[in-house]
Amino acid sequence: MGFDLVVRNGVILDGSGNPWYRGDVGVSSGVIAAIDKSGESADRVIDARGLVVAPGFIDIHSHSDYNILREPRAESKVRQGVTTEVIGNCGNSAAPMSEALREYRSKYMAAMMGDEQRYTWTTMGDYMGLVESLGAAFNVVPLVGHGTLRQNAVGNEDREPTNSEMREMKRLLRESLKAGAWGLSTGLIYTPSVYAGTDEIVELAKVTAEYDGLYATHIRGEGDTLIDAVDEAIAIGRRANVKVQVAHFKACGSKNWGKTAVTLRMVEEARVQGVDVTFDQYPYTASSTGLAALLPRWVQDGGAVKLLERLRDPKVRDRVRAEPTEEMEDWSRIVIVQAKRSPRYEGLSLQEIVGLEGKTPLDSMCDLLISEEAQAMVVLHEMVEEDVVRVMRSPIGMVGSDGRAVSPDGAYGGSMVHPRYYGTFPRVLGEYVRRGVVTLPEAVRKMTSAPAQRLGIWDRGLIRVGFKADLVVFDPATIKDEATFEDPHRYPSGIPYVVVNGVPVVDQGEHTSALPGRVLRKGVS
Amino acid sequence: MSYDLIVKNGRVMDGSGNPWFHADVGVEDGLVAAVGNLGAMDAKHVVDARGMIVAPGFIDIHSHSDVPILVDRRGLSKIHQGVTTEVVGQCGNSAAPVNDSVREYRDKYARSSLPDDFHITWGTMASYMDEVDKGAALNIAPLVGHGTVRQNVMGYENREPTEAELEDMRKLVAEAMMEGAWGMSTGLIYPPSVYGKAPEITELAKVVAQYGGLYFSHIRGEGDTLLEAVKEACEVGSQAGLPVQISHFKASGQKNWGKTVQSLALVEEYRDRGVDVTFDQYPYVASSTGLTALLPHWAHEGGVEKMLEHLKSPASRERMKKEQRLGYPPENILVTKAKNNPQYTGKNLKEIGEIMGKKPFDAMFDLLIAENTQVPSVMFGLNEEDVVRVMRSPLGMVGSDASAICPEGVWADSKPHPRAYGTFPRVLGYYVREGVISLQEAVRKMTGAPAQRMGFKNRGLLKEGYKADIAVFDPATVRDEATFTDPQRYASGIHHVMVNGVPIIEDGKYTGALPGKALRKPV
Repeated sequence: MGFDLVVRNGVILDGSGNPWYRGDVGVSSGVIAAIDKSGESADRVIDARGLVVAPGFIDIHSHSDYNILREPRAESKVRQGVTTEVIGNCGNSAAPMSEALREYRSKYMAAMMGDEQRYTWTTMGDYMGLVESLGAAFNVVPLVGHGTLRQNAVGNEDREPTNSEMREMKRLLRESLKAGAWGLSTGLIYTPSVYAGTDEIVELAKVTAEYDGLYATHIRGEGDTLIDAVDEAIAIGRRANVKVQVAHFKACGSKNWGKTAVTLRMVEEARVQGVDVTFDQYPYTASSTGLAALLPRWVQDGGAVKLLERLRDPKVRDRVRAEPTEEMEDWSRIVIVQAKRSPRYEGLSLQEIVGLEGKTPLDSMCDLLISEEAQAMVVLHEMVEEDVVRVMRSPIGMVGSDGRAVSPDGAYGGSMVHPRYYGTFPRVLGEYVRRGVVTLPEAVRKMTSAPAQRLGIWDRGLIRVGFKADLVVFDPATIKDEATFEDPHRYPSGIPYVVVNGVPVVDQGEHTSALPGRVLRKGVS
Repeated sequence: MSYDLIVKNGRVMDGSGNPWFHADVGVEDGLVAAVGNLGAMDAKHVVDARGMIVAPGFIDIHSHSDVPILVDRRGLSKIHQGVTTEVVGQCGNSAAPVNDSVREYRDKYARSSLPDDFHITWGTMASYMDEVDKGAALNIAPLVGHGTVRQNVMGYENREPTEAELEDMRKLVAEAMMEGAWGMSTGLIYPPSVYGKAPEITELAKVVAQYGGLYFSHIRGEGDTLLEAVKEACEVGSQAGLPVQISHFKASGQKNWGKTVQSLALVEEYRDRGVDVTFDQYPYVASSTGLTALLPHWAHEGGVEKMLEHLKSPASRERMKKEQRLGYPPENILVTKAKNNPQYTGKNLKEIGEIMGKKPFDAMFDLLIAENTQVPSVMFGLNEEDVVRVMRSPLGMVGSDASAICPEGVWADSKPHPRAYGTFPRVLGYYVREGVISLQEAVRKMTGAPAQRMGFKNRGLLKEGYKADIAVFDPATVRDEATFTDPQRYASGIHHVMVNGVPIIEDGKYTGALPGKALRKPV
């Protein structure tokens, strides 16, 4: 019997936390067919001498929902070894999409789709089908965004849903979970997800639990209100009996540095009590978000239209000046990374823009949001290394990029994106492993079997006979993230081969143009 | 739909090192049939595991149950710890193969813990495994012992083998491997394995490598010569091209405490060079061995009869005192069983000397004579810092270095090392609670890691299609109860254990079932 593909002479880190062992991996029909040292023939042989063979990485927190439609090659991710991405995070998913939401997105989120794509789908099933028909280099695991559900049922208003609106959100959620979505996400600092009280989320999380889905949350505060926000996530887990994933676990703002010691203990105590809480992390001390999210919640009420109206009102600006958000305490930490209409600002902090414009940082911020129609992106240098390390050492954590799959020549090629889009996984395997923060097998576990278990994907995340052949071959001595804040569009080094469903998508460090990825549907194999 | 058995409401820790998740585990035909929410499913037998950890059964990667599991097939001291598979044939000493002369020798001199009516009935590795298959509570995966192979070919002679003898040994190793052994072990402080030099071992390891097996080693020194001994083991792996498992990784003797820093670094260096070296450990600061391990090598030459002569000769006694090995103070050496002189059981050498009115070493020599040289003992020679350092290494596994026994019959009055009863719960209880390692890491070191090491393709993880070897324990109360003074006490907090889908422990009690199998390496 011959194989389609054999990865020979490497050492296997199988995705559990075990140390490497020697073995050849034989692949047939997209599945791992054998792991041993026998020299079967194969159509294609990858020589992995001196290299590590690991399961493909599962990016448990990503945002490629829209860009995967434009750039199915998913360059910045597959070149990191990512073979599966979990999308629909932070409350925002592509589907479901009502008529009204389609109109809103077409108007205010047109840039997201460029000239290539349109907002055409309605249900989660439609969206999954669209991704598949366009093809994708990696596998896609969609969550349902709570903010998206709310936009469908309630709009962008800051109020509690009526009973019938609540029923509609549950109906849409059920429909999406039945179509194969893997859980529910919230983004409790983003409109309109932020408008939901805990009870509303518990109700929806209960529906999610019926389908054994995951509740993934960008919690209500990651700085001054961090402790309360973690507490809320745990309470939702307990009350809804749902498994909880706290996204990009961190502590923001200098006066909150060190608080991860407390929040990690909270998570551990909750687990002892039987609440299944875990989390993910990206390995950087800077975060990235939309500039609008730094404004007080009342300014954002009603979505982009209202937001832009308010920003034009000097009285609104005065009120914000009087009641600034915590992020506004240090303008030098807020760096503009994407401003399509004012690219000259990209790479500058709001403090630095003061020097150019002679305006206050707040006025610069508001004017920029107006000229960009609310769509500018920023990087916030707001974390401390000690917290990053402490969180990474916890065995409960996973790795998630919180970034999109992009490419230097693609839609975001001209923007100063966060380097995590290109560097998250190799940065953990290179920088953090070499510094001794985590061991290599442990780092690989956090990227493979841990997220697979978390999601309930039972045929990926380990190198085992019968598992899907998602593989990454890397050089533990040279693997390195090359992307920096100054020069983010750089592929990592030391990852010569990436295989998705048995098909190489990265071969000798180059993208093969193959699109063997699938949309994974929960409950459907 | 219905399963044979469902473990409901537990926290599944699947052996991979991942944290637990809530799931039910369905078992059908001895296999894990499903892991997930099986609320709607029926089963003939339901185990409620609320608040408990549901893990793969533990694999004791270093055990000496070869013959004890045939003496008492219930394996009680092990199954009460959650052990579902034992790797036997360690330290150079395996039950098989035995030719007529080895069988005769063992029947006479290796029966300190055997009932009078127990006799060796087997010869080859295959026939030994058939004997196991007549009934055992847990699974038994045998290695072939280098000492045993050497004894078959060369007896207890302290010399290099001739080319013909080496060829005979190669044949015996190959035969055992073909019959399903998983590798070869050496015991390089025990005769006759100790007489084998590195080239001989490398030659035999090459045979093992051809069959995809492993090299296990109780290395040539765990004290003053620790680093040289670790290096020797790694070199065998490097030159013969096979993975190496160093047994009960430690540093013995006060002046060697701390040396695990260097020995761990050495292992990592070899791994960086591509030699697959790993190790196991028992979680105690005392080791256990026969008192004869204190005698110099020349006193072992020629076997027991020759040794008894030395023990009786005043000149030899003087020399043995001067050249004694290991160098522990007499109060650190505890006699755990003196079959013919039970008054000394549980006493240290200093106390025994006082009772006899003799110097400790003279008392020891006399005791060895009175017991026909068979005196099991415990020696307090390790340091907690080393134990902790070794446990924190992700390369390590857990192995009891003990036999499966019970406080009945032939073992009723013995005082074994408590590791026979406490190894696994001691790691899960004491060391996890002390924060030395996380619970999921501890479980990985007992399940997924040894399964990978051995090449068990369908054990060591709780996954659909895997063999249903399962341990259910309470993470809050799991605890070793066995102590050095009261060692024969079953662990607490291990509530349910299943082997090949069949419950062997239910609510902490043995069920009477014997579902274990001899595991044969696929050729």
